[in-house]
Amino acid sequence: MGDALLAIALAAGMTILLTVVSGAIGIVLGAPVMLLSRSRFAPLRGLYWGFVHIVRGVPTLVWLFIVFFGITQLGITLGAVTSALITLSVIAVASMAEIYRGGLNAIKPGQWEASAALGLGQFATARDVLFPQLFRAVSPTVATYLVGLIKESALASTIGVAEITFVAGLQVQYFGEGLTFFAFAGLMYLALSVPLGALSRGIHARLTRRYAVL
Amino acid sequence: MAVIDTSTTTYTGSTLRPFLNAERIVKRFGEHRAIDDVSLAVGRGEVISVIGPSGAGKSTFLRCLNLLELPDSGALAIGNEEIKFEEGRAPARAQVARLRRQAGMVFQSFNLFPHLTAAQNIELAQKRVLGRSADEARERARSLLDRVGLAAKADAYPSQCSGGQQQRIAIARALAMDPELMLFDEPTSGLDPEVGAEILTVMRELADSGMTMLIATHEMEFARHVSNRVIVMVDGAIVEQGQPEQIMTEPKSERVGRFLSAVLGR
Repeated sequence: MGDALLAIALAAGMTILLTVVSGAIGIVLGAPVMLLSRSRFAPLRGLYWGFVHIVRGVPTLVWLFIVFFGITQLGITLGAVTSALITLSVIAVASMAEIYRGGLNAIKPGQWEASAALGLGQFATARDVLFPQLFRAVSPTVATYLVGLIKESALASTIGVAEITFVAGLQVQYFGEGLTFFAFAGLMYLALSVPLGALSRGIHARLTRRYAVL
Repeated sequence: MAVIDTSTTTYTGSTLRPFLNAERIVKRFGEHRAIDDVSLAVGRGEVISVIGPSGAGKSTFLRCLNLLELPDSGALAIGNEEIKFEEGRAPARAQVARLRRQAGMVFQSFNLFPHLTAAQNIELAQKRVLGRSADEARERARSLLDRVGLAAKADAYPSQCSGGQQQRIAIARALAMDPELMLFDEPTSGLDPEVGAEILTVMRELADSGMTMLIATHEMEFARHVSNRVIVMVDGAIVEQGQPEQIMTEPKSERVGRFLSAVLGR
């Protein structure tokens, strides 16, 4: 019994891996992807909308199956962990891009005008003016998304990734006691998501202490 | 209302070749002609106040001069750079950048970067656009903050500064780019009169130092005493221009007279 609980607790490592890797990829790549939505060129804007709608319009579970089972048909075999990482990361990129796009409303038009009047190029404007303000404005929304991602990573259990839910399911198959093991799994998720929420509130307070973004 | 021919605007500035030459600028917003065939030549060192009722196009005209608004037609030359405007054809980015390089802009709403300190606000474009080193940019920022009387605020964020302080920081930020021309878009309109006075003091010193300046303003006293030419805009056109004293005391057109008696309280 103790060993079974330990196994579930250790599986939190895989849950953390899935969340941190896909969350980080989403946070970083979501930014340049969002810029596509503001491109002067219609095809790039179209590409953005196509990407975001297709990725976010299909359930995560279906994407997992498409990547894990479907890609095999093309002669490429991906491991379960790789499939889960790819799926969660691509969805995170699309979701973060949309969060950033929403956060743009928090940035006053005068910021672009001041940047333009100073002669800052598009790249410098994005990196030095836009994103620092954007990250501060959206940091609570990002935290909410990351908490959601912790929970969504449980879907990877369906393709056999040994994260919390999968390992808890294994214990139930061996020992029964479904309530005990799944309740413990639930506690593990809480142990991850509650501190993350607190951490993000701390970061947001620090980022915005000295000035008002909004 | 008197009809005044603005297509043959007289150039009353210095006798040298104009530093800025705007020719027959038109800017439409939908059907509305916000700037209606405006021409203006500005000589080096001239200080020009652009006055007129709200909605006359003062801000839009200034914004056309550094291409924050892209004119629909006309031509603009600043220094050696010249752009002809045609509807539906955006000028090359590099050319826009070269033209803007020569003009600093100060906004009614300051538009400082809220996530950067006063000094960092002034350093950013120096490093990114002019390629100055961090030390050089910092040195310049300090000396400019000192010049506008805010040396002590170097490490303060905009939210920790009053409106008047923010506007002085914004002026320092624009000056750090070594512009040949400064555009002021109602720099004191968002401020208490008392605070506005400290901005006007900085601007007067700038004018005295020989900076070429174009100022959209409602500050009649400033227009009268600091500028060497006053331009009156109504309905997107220049209806009158000349020496401040002459415009203020004996305007030629009835419309300008009405505007002036309203703002001067006569």
